[in-house]
Amino acid sequence: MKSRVWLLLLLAAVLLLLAVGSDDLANSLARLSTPSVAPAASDSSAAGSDGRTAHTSGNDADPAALASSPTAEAIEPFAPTVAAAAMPLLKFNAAQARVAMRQRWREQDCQMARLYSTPTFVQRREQEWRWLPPDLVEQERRAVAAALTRLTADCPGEITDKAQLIRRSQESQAVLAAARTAGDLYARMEPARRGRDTAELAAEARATMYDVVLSGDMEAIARLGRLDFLLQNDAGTQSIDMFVDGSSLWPMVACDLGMDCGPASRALDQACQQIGNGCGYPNLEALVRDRSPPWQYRLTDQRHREIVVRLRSRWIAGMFDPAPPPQPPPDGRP
Amino acid sequence: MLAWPRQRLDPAPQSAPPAVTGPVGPTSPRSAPASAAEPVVDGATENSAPKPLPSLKPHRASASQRAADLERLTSETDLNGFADELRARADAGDADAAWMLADLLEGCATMAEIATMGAALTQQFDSMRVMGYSDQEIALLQTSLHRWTGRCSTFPARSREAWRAQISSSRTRAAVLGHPGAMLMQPLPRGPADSPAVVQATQRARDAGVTLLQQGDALDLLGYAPQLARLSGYGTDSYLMAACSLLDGCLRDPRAYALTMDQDQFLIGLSNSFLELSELSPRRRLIVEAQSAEILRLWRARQYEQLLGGSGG
Repeated sequence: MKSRVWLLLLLAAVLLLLAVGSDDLANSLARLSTPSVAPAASDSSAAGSDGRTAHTSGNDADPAALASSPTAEAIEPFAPTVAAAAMPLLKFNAAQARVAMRQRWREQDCQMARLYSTPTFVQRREQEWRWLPPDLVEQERRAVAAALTRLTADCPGEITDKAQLIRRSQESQAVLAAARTAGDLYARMEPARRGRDTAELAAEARATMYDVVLSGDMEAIARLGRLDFLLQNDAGTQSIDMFVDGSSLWPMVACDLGMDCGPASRALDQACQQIGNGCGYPNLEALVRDRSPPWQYRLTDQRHREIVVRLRSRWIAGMFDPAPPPQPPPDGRP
Repeated sequence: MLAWPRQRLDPAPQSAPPAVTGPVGPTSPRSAPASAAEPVVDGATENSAPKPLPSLKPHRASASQRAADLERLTSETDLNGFADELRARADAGDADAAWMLADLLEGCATMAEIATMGAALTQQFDSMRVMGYSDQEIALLQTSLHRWTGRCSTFPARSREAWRAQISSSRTRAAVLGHPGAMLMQPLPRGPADSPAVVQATQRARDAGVTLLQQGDALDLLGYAPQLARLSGYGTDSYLMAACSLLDGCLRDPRAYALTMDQDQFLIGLSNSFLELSELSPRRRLIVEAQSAEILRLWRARQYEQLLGGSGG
């Protein structure tokens, strides 16, 4: 019976939005592709000097390390614990923390670029291309290759050795913990989750989001989706933001505020690598429009414009308070 | 968010379809299963435990019988009594009766759940408004819901678990009796794709899919879209578009078609799937249209093995 199909479809769509919502799609894919890797302690409190063991939950796993994992099953479950115990405590000043976080983000981007170059993802893209017009495919093929070249241009070599991979993951988590301790804004954008309830996380996320938009840092603003997701998780009620394309909203905001989102830009290159997205667009907005159901693009575009207006007018107070319940569009169907 | 039971996309019984504009499909009765398995009687009677039936001869209902059943599904005032009739026929080995009984029970089980949703249902409709559904469109859905909730009220109240058990029992029986749709929808065993068990189960499903498609019913492309997609590599939405292409008036406005058709067929819910077609991204639409064209080409040429041979991926 399919009497409930429409409801199920809608529910599935909403759940998908929630799942991918403000979390970067690439990172979601990375987690999905290596679900059981147990790389490291997730924060400084869990990997404290008392040597207390702490296995990382999926949510806290380091995406870069996950993406570079050869196979999740291949990793010895107890190896990270041993490595964690041996990891020296790091201490950063503000400048060092920022440098370390920039490097961390860069490594994550490199890992995602590598992930999308793996045969599985290449095959999926080829499958899509089989059904698209040849001229479009040719254009995309060139654009994908060029984007990949740019994205991996200054990437470090891929780690394939299991032990080295675990070690690197430990180091990455230690760096994150030290940068958090130093109060770095980028590090605060990756709050430790384990052992914390959603309300506490949401409060921290909200405070960080205000600081990010006040900082005017385009790259940080473009990455606000994850924190936005934490806020929605805590809201408990349905809001309009649940229907918005969370992985595109904040990059689109950053584009409007001045981040380069045109041809050959990092923002466009990264989005173009994601499966399901096309490549070769003139800007990020065109990409998002092409990959979104019309109703969702309309909502996302509307929301991004609202945010941009508020940021430009410095009307920031309250902007991350819980969103109002969803309202129908003023003129019916999109 | 709704706490809605995650259910598979079930096929519906064969219907007298709305004007099919596609190829002239085979008109012969559906092929009987090549070899009916030993009947397993599951005792699908409403409130009793399974009981064995002595001499059960698996068979398919005639096309006219199936059409009559569908007509009764949309017009019968005593659906509980109709369920008893279907059960009796299923007990006698009628695979289509067992399948339709499962559909009927599942539809009314859903209506029973919807009746308890209250504010969650209101929220669901609000969500649809956000997604661009108009008040008139939502009113159509609400009317269908109201109508079918009333029709299903002839069933005695029972727990969700009791509904599930009866539905599952009837679906299993339909598969055992050789209903191709039921066999197609049998879950695959867990394990690597190249393990013998999975390979065999996939082949059985593929054979059932071919048998199903040989019936030449456009609505099968709709009703079994996820299962056919799983076997072939074409997208579910591509099968939906192929079916929509074969139904007069659907492709022009799938959403309007779905909502209007649902006035009559809400319980079996076939056309609701077409709502999805109104929500494709521009890029996805290009892919779906191309896949749909190939599905239709193979379907019209009756190249069902090729259709389900995995070439779509």
